[in-house]
Amino acid sequence: MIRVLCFLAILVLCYSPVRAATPEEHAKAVARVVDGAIVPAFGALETATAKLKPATESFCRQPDPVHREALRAAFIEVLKRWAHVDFLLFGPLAESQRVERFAFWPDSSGAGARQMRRLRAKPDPALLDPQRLGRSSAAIQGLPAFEALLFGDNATAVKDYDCKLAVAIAANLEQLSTEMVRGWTDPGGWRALMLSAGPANSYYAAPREAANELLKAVLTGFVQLRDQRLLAALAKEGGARPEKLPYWRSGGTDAYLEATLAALKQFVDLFDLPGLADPDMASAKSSIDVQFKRAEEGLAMAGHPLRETIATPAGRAGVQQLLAAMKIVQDLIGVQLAPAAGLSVGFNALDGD
Amino acid sequence: MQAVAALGGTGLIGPALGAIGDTGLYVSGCRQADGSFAAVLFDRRGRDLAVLPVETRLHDTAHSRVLNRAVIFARRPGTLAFVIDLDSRRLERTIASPPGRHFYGHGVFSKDGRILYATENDFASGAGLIGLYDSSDSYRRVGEFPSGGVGPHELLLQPDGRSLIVANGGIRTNPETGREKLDLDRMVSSLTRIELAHGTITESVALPKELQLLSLRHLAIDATGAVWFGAQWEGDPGETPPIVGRYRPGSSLSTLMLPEPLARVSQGYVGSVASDARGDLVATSCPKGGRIIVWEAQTGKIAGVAALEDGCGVAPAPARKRGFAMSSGGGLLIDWSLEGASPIASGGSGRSWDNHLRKILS
Repeated sequence: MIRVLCFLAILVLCYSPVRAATPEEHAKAVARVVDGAIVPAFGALETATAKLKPATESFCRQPDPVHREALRAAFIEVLKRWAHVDFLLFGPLAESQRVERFAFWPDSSGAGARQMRRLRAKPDPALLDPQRLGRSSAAIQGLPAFEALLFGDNATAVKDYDCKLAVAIAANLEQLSTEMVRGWTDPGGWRALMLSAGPANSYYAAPREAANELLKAVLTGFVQLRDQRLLAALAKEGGARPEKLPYWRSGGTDAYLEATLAALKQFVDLFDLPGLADPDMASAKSSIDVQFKRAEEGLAMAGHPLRETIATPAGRAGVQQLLAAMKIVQDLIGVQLAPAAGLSVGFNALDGD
Repeated sequence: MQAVAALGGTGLIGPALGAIGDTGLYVSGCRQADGSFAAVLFDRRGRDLAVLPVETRLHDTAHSRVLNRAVIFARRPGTLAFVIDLDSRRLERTIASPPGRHFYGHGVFSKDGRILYATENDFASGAGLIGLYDSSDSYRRVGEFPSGGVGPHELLLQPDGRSLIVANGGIRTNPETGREKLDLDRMVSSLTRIELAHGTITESVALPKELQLLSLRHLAIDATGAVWFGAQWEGDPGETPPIVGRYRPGSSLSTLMLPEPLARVSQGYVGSVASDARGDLVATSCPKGGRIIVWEAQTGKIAGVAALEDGCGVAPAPARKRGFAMSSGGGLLIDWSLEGASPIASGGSGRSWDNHLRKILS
């Protein structure tokens, strides 16, 4: 019997490179981010998506400029709320392909446009049922599909089917948001899982593991902002490809990028890695503040709307200032602060080999 | 719920108990503290014998006792492999994959050491290939044959030396990056057995339909001759399909279920598979979950679990017949057995050990 118990014993070897933060400090940091940023952000997303469907229905009943602007405002509000969660690629957002279903973007092979063209040429009434739509291709059930339907090239001649499909997409987005709110806040949900990290936890065996998850998420946020949303729109030869910017059709690009910066700033502030690290890293806090300020200034300097200004010298310079500032923060966090705070994103764990 | 017993970290640094007559030479790729990459040879006490800088991140090592050479491959989609002379402990030569091809990071020598077999990808067609390199002729590429699938990853030589077993991951990758996954809808992963005399595929076994999104990657052979595989789940992260299984050449695949909470913790991902010195135990590492699961080869039951953050490399233990050396992205090396674990080398060197650890018995 003792032998059997021996076989089942799990041995933990902790790797602590420096004076790392204590498990209690890691747990507090996790609680700050989860309760201060993540859970409220999913709640706000649910609220915003709940308003998209009525705005769509009003516009479809009365497609005049007033209702179009009201619809645009409702859509942009969803984009802003989405920017606060779309880098949390674990837990409820990663399950059931929710991230792809909510926003199939970037879509480098143009799957969304292709499938939408096919669908509008030959409308399928079954997809007007949000449940059915939710089980169909990710490329036609989320934000980019909604945008293409109501703010695309043909937006002046929105057909009946387009409207009904957009209503179904809005309902699907609300449903997905509700599922994610529940996935986080239910007893036994992801909030409870992250806040109860420890030996008895089935997923996070120590607060440090939960903190590592958040570290990975925020670094993903920086990579997405730089590589997917901005670098792709700056052509190498000095030109610009504004059509690579996110949500330019609806005019939501600028608001979405501003919200992304705000979301990353809030997350980083609440996480407070400098506070978890050695005292000699304390100055990093002000460096981070300075760089976020530079990034915000860069975006403002570029001028609005970015889809027009990005091709101008000022627009390009502004975007490059933002990119440079965010790269500094990303490296500061990933290379210096994380190890100093006893955290690690992993070398093999992220490898995929 | 299983209890997790903390063994502490810093207080345990010290050499593992050694045995006589076994130098226990190990080879692994790593990233150094300064961000550069190197192949490292170290002894059973974790002491560096040679640190050989290379220009690229590394993956796995092929070893020929006859030649007393090891070849360490660049991580996919690498185009280089490095021949290490184990006598002089120096890099002897660099092997380049032919134009339009890349390595997947794994290779194996023929029994006589003459031919090095490497898993390769043909960019244009996406076809999986086994490239043949002649060690007696400056590792000239002397032939190739189909791997029998897409994305061949690890391969091993059957004990009789006559056949290769290849894990075809089933995922076609983007030629531009070599890593972005294409065509998950059409994914078919398989194990193939290739008879070396003619390069013919004598057996090909695929997964059942419901496990279509499981990518077979890593292999080891146990004392009974069964081939163990470790897989990576490409489907919904909320699901917990089996990621470890066995295949006995001539029969079908069988999978082994992980109990909860291990199934969930392992996140559908096995990074490396190895059997211990006698093939009684098989280790499957789950770096995403920070766990290394050790199985009894005979029964297919879990013998023990090591919690090692970012732990991926597994190889036979430094001295004991039963047990493993385990390495981590945090720079830790541990000597693990059913009785307990002790550090071989402490972390904190700033070194990150790469996915695979090889023990070179000499």
